[in-house]
Amino acid sequence: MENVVYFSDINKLKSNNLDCDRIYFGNEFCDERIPSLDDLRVAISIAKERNKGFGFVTCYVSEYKIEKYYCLLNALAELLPGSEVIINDWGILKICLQNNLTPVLGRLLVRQKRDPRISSFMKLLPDLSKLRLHQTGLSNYFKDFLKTQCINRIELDNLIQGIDINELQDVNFNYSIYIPYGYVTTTRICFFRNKNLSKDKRFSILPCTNKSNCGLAKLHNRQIKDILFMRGNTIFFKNTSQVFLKSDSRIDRIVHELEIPD
Amino acid sequence: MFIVAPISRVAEVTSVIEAGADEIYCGLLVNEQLDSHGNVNCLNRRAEISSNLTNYEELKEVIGIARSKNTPVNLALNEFYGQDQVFMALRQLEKSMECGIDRIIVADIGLLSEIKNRKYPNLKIHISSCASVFNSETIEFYKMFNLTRVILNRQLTLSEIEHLNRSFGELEMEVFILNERCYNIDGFCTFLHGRFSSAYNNFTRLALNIMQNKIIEYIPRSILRVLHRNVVKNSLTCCSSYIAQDGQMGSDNEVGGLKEKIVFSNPDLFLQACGICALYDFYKIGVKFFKISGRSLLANKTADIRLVKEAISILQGEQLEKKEFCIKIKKLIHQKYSRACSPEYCYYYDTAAF
Repeated sequence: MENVVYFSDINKLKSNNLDCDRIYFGNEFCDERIPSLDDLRVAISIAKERNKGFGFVTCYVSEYKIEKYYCLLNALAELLPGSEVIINDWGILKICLQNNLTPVLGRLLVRQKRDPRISSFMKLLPDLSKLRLHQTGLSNYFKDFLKTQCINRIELDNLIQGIDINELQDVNFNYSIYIPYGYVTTTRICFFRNKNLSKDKRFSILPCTNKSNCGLAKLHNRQIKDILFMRGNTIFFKNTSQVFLKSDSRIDRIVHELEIPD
Repeated sequence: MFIVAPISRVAEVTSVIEAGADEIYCGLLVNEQLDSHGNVNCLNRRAEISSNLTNYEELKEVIGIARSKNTPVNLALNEFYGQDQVFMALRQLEKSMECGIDRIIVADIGLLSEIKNRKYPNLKIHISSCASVFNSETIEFYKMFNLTRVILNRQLTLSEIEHLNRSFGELEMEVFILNERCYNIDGFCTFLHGRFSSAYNNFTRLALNIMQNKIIEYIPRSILRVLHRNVVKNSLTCCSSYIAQDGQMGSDNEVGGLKEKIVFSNPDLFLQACGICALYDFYKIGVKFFKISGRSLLANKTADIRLVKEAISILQGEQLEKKEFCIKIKKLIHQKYSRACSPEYCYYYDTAAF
């Protein structure tokens, strides 16, 4: 099993003792927090110095921010040819392939059902329906398409209701799993960005004013027995169970989130 | 400028078209699906039976009525599918094509890919808002599936829409104009929608059918509105309330401090989200298709369509400044719905002249 530690903050990467095989650096959820070219260079040089594998994590991205990725992926291809790029926006795929980088299907493009209420009504459902709620939501047609795009690795969340290990036996793919935080939903309307604005502006998509310090809150809801976490523009669940380790599957990488990603 | 409006029943088609819809869209929730999956994992993201047509005969009727009025019908197949569901979606697509469907709304890459392989020459592909298009590279990516239209995500700003529309003149662009502006990005949100139960048995299906087709029109709208609001509040996790405990950076153990009650999508305002003022800008930048979201009561559907239709005719008939247009729209909303415009749930806040 390959162990990865995921960093979105370069200072935390610098100060970590990196007891892992690979580092992930970047951001999945907010295009206001796409790393600078300097930070990417530092992250790559740390990976090289410490002899660690490297994966660059990318996010869904607006029209005005995609320029940044042209530059970053170009630099990545020069500094570390063939590096992995975790894609969470289909638009990034082409840029990645043009630079001969190795695309990995990020968890935002994997259609697992992450609603934390699921485990509470699961027993009421027909068997096929239950099965879908444990599965990735990637049909064979989808996987065939991934092969044509040179994607051989798929990244998953560690669902509260459990994952269907049998689905992950396909020899054409390897799987990574993120622990302990799984994402539930994300938005461009950042609660923390907007919470002090007048009521009429709270629903707006506005530039971030605090890029160095994403907000964090615990969320309690009477329909959901697990506590959720809101970090910046994204809501997460927490699942520390590692039942998947006992099974024979193609999960060969664990992505450790030392804190809730931002 | 074309209005794309929803229908949930055959009986609604004529009224919706007469109210001014230029295209209609619908979903199907057939018995085969209910038997195997209940109403979870519905093929078009609308888990409620009342939001869907329930068999192919109904679909055929809908298409027949719409065709007689020169109105295209779009079928929503915009969920993300696992293996058995993608087979079900393809079956639904092929049977629907036999009924006359020639336009579908799709988000799933597996389905898009297989549709491309099977080569349906007359089928028009509309990329769903759930496909999460935020930039031109993503549109370039989806173009490999021979799409004709992109339904842009709800969470794009007006300037982003303008940019995308300008860059892809060969494609039709559709934007949301009324109702259901969710706080979350629909293509990335993994909350399930709906109240879930075991597979509906035949009695429940019959009861719902009678309720939907025979009784509902006799229940006062005010009561239905309250019922609808409660269904939304209890079935959509994003519309229910949370207690948020403000926290610090770092591990979740450090969280503590102030508590605040928050609702991401207020059920009243969520249902009334509106972007009609932005028609002014869409007219100028050349966006032509306007989606009215929601599958509520017929009376609401037709009122919404009339409102958008009237706004379009004001826009096309009078030479107004943006501010004058917005003032007229606000008056119109007040007159039609007896409520004030809610800037909090404005689809395109950056454009509205408040």
